Amino acid sequence: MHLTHTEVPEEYRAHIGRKTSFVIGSLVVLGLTLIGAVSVGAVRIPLPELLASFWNQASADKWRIIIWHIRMPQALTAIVSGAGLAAAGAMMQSILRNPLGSPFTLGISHAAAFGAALCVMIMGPGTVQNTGSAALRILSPYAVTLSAFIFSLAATFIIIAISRVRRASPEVLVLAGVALGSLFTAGTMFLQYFADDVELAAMVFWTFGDVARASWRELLIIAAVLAVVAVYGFYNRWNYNAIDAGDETARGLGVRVERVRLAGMLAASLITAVVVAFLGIIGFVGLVCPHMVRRLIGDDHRFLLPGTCIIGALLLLAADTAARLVLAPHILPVSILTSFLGAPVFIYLIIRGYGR
Amino acid sequence: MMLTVDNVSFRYKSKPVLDSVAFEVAAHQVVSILGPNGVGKTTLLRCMNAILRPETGSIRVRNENILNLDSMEIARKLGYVAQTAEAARTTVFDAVLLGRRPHMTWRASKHDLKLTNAAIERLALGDLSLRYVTELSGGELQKVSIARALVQEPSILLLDEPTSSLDLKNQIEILKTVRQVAATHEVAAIMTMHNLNMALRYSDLFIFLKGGRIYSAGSPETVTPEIIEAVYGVPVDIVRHRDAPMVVPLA
Repeated sequence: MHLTHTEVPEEYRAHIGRKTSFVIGSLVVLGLTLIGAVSVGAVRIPLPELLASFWNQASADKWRIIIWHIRMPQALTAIVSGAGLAAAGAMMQSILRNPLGSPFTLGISHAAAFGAALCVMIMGPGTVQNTGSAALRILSPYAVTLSAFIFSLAATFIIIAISRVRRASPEVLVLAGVALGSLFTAGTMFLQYFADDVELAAMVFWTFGDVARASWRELLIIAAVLAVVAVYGFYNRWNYNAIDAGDETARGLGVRVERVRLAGMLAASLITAVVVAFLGIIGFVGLVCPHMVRRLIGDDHRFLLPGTCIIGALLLLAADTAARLVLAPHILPVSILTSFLGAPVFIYLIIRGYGR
Repeated sequence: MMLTVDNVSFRYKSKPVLDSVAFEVAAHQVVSILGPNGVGKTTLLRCMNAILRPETGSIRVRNENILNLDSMEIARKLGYVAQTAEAARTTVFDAVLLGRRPHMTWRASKHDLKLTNAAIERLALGDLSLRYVTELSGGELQKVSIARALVQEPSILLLDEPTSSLDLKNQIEILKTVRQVAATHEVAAIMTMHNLNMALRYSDLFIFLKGGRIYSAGSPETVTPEIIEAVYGVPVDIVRHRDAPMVVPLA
């Protein structure tokens, strides 16, 4: 069958140009926010000296430790983890065709919290200390991280296994996720009930998501996993657009819907598991960011996925910077602020409404 | 022949649905698959583009058995218009461009964009091309689905009850469009239908299914009240009104 070629209308090119500008503009704002985030804090670093430190100039020597050992890893961790959680939320919402799809509504974070609590219970909590403010240092942080990671991936595999028994429909995946979330929450409560005071404090402390927990090493691990997941998600952008048009339509376009759905679920869960395992639970970024970006530039995954990653990074970086400043000299874990801000933003989006 | 369906059988678990279905379709033909609810019309359509794998038989498009091909290759030969199209917040242009998915590697080429524009103009959707799909009426949405199937550049267009949720004006418009597409392109259209009068008016060939088998197949002239009564269990008369056959239920 042959259609006669006709030129693409200018309006469409302009429309695509606007979406591209949004993505590039967001990236510029993110860069500026990063400079601002590294500059402000308990000690204010003048902008010229901050920029000088990038070029390794001697005049910035006295700031080097603050910039490269404290603020830069924290800010970059906020960027990669915000991008990762937001990308996971966008992918889950698309492949599950459910606006409530996110690592938290699907029980993956609850499983991580259970894994962390179980490890604290078995290996015991440690001495009291935390970054910035006095709190608690967990005795074996890598064991807790590993346990949280294993349980969050286990939750994903259980959800996928259930959906293999049934057909991998969005309903089955969402309901299995909700049921598992409830189960792991009950498990965590059970452990907390039998924990002593210090163990209980360690369990609760772990759930406060905080980007200050990561050093360069953790940052690089999160960034590497994010890179793989982001490239995978972007590679599948047309498949996600096809699934948006309905499962039957997607199959008619040659998309192997069940395979794309399960692999996407696995990829989104992987980045969530890595972020949550290293940083604790950071709520609402994965849920709210994709909705914000959908409102601004629509559901086309060619722009939605990069746009969501950048806005997620920007949101978490801005929230973390605010969390460092709002009660200075006390430093709030960023998860408290994201949950405070996320709920009203989400309610606003619901009230304004849009067709999804 | 454009399409040869040969000895196709299919069962859902232990329940047989299709039993040794066979027919042929030539280029430019519009074919209606008819029969009561649950007889296997949609299942047959899904078997034809291998969304469901038939238990036996073959589906040959231009003499090539599509059951041996991968899903993208099949989608380049058969365009499928599902009964219900979901509306995402993408523009009409992007929704139609999605039909190039089976031909794409990494990104949409200029060729893909030009074909998409051609299909949009072919379906008279030009004024809507930058509107979000969520803002369209049912008829417009159905046209978008057909345009999307057209840019797949298929040999066969499969449409699952394309008029089921449309008002009379839109039903006529969609069926006329299907006829025009089949007449002017090297393509055959096969659709499942419930509305017998619309099917009689806009189809070249009829396939009546009963009990998972073809009960009768032929041109509009071969359709008799006895066939319709045997398939649907309702006595009917076929009268001619301005040269068009019309089915009138007698029950």
